[in-house]
Amino acid sequence: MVRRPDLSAPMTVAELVQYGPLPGVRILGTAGRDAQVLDVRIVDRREALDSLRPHTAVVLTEAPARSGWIVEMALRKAWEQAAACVVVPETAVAVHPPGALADRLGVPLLLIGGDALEGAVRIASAVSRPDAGRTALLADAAQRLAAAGPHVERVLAALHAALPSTSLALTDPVGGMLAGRRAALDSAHPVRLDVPGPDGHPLAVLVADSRSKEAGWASTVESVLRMAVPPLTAWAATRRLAEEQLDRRSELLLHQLTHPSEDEDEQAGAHVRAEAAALGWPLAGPLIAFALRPAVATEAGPAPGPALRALWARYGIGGPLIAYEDCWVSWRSAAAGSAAPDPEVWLRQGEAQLRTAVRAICDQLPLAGGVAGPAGGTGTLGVALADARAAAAVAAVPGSVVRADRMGPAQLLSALPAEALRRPAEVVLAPLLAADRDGTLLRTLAIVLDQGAAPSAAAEILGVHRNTVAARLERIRALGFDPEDPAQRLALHLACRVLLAES
Amino acid sequence: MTPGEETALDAARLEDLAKGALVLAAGAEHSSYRASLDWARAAVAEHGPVPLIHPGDLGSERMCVTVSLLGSSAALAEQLPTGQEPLRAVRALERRLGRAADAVVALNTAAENALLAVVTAASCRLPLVDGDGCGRVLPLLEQTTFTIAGVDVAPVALATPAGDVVVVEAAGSRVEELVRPLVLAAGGWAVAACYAMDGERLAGAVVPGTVSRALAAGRPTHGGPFELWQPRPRRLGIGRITAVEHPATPGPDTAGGTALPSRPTSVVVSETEGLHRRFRLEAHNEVLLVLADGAPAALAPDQILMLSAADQRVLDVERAIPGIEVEIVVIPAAPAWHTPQGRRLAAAGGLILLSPDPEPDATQVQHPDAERPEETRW
Repeated sequence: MVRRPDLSAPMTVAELVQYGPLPGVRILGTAGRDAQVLDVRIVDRREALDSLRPHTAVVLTEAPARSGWIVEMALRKAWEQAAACVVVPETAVAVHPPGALADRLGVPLLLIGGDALEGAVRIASAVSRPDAGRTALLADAAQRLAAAGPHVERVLAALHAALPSTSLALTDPVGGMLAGRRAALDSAHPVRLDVPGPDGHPLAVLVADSRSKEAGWASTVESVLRMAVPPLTAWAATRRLAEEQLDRRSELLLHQLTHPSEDEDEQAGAHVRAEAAALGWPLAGPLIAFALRPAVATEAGPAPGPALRALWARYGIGGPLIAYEDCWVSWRSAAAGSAAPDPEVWLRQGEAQLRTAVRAICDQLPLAGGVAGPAGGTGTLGVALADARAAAAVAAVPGSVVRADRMGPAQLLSALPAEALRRPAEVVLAPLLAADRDGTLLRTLAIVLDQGAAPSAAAEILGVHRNTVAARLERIRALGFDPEDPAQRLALHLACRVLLAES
Repeated sequence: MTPGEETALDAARLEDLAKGALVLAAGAEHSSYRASLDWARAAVAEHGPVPLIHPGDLGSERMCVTVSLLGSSAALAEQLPTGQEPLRAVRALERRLGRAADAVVALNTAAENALLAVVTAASCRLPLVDGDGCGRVLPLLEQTTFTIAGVDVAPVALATPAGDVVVVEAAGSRVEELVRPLVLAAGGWAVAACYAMDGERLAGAVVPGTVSRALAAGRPTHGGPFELWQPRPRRLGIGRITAVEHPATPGPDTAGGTALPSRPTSVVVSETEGLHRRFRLEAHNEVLLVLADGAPAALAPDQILMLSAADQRVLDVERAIPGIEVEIVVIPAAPAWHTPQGRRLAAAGGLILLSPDPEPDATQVQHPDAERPEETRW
């Protein structure tokens, strides 16, 4: 292992306090904390103060430390002889330890719990092997993290306990505060560490701010933070697992709600309804059903469930969001949005709301939506949800929303399994494809068929003159295709759509 | 006063002396001090003013005896003097030595002892020497500059208020041990006549001018009590008492100091001007050591006093409470006390001696840095 260069640096007074070789240590005096400690001197007689070496931690034993004037004299002698700090047992010092004098002279005064000689030994061992002190800190942090387990608050509490005088925070990848102390975010010299999620994607960032500027401290902090990454990732994984379990339970409950079994008694049905009500699901009809379908294949990235749930909570139109076969469904009470008892008004409102939501979500997660209904109650909700899902399935363009009762031929055709029909389509249209270099003829034929062979409507959609469409149709007819021939029409229409969806 | 000059201590000057004698004895028992002052007033009224003479004016042919109050001063207020004690003690010593005393000198010029010397001189119709055997106050009979100069304390003649007279013959260094139980047995206090010496030895051993110094301190003047003192005391600084602590164990190293009655006290004073140093006064009976920012600024046997800034009066350590503004003043001890023998003798009574530390003055030469006190003199 390559030894990091910063580890060989002598320990400073601040590090002595931070690395915790001294139990229950308290430091008085703000100045001089970055002084290096190279040696320890035990002082049990006042005369010993006359010959101190620079960079020494002067440890007063109980007897001299009991005399306040000797403590003051020790601070003075330490200052005169450039010693690093004065250490006294807290039990021995007076009610008013001379913190002001420590401040004034720039010699920190350390009050330690327990015996002075034991403290001296601890300092000596920390000073002789500065990296041992750091190692001890890491070991302590590891124990605390192990005890904390995969819980974000407990992990942060363990880090705060292991790294005294250091503020820590957990933020999302763009810096939003998730947990910890906000002070960490205001740091001038923060230590940052990315926390990946269970899938390896960035989940969060650990930010630490240490007020001490000692050399090597930042790298020590980073080492400790690194140990906190696995429990945080595990925390995310368990949270996702819980989420998925919730999804499964909701799916099952929705199935039970919409498909009451024949032999099910009244009581079981009531139980299901009660559970659904407890989850806040709208149960009183009329109900408008919604479906959401991710527009891209999900194998490439993380499962969109948690993200979609979060986005739905933020931009959605309220109501539950439940995985339903290959998409997610939701529904709400139609009467909630409008007083008018008109199904057309309800559906139009629902469509508008879903479109707004889908467009907002589309920025981060491309998807399309379907609207259906109204259903009279939970008994017919299953049908409405299936309709909405079918409508979402034909809404080919991300961000678009299709009403189940307004599905046109283009939407239906686009829902066909393009992969299976591609070869037959190419065979059917082979002469046209051979002549059609840039796809203009194919697109024109498809639009003309969409519009019931009306050239003027097709010209409008294509953005060309009506004569242009007519001219193209002449060429198409010359190749042997007639959009007005009932025998050819369906086959041509299908083939055009399959190939267009392909491109 | 200068050699050859003679001053008489009359009733008015006695009052000045009485006031000035309190400067070095801020903790004096009030009742016994009042009793001694009444006694001295009566003696001066009865026998007339006491001539004050310069130590050098006595000459080798004339003998001087030293007087001191022994025992507890509180006992003096309870068992009032008959008035005959000083005369009987001096006469007993004269009988033992076979020659008459020609002058009286005080053991120290503080509180009751200064007044007792006046009483003795008046009732024996002898002059009082302007000086004493200490220059400050120390608890033991043998802690004098006379001892340092080689003058024997013995024979010691004791006269008690009950009328007993005891003469203790040359007992070497055990005078204190012998005399203390005698005083206790006699009722708590006695007048001692001791340190008989001729004028020449007196001139070499005495701390001169202490009576006129006390007179000056007691005279109503503008400025502090040390206005007319020569040499002027050293002023360490002015500040506010921020803490008074009573450590569980004696603060400074004491050598046999367990006999001292009062408890150890630490007084922390934050300087309110100049360098804003933190003074720490360590006291046991009297202030033994002053640290300025942890460095010794003054130590016994120099006398360290706190003057209340409000009225320029000496503040007893026992009366120090946080919030009082005080001036810390050092009265240099007589040079004899700074000799190795003098330091040893001072330590015998429980005074701290911070050897092998150099004297603060010497420290100043070693570290002439900005942290050192800017000394102000009156």
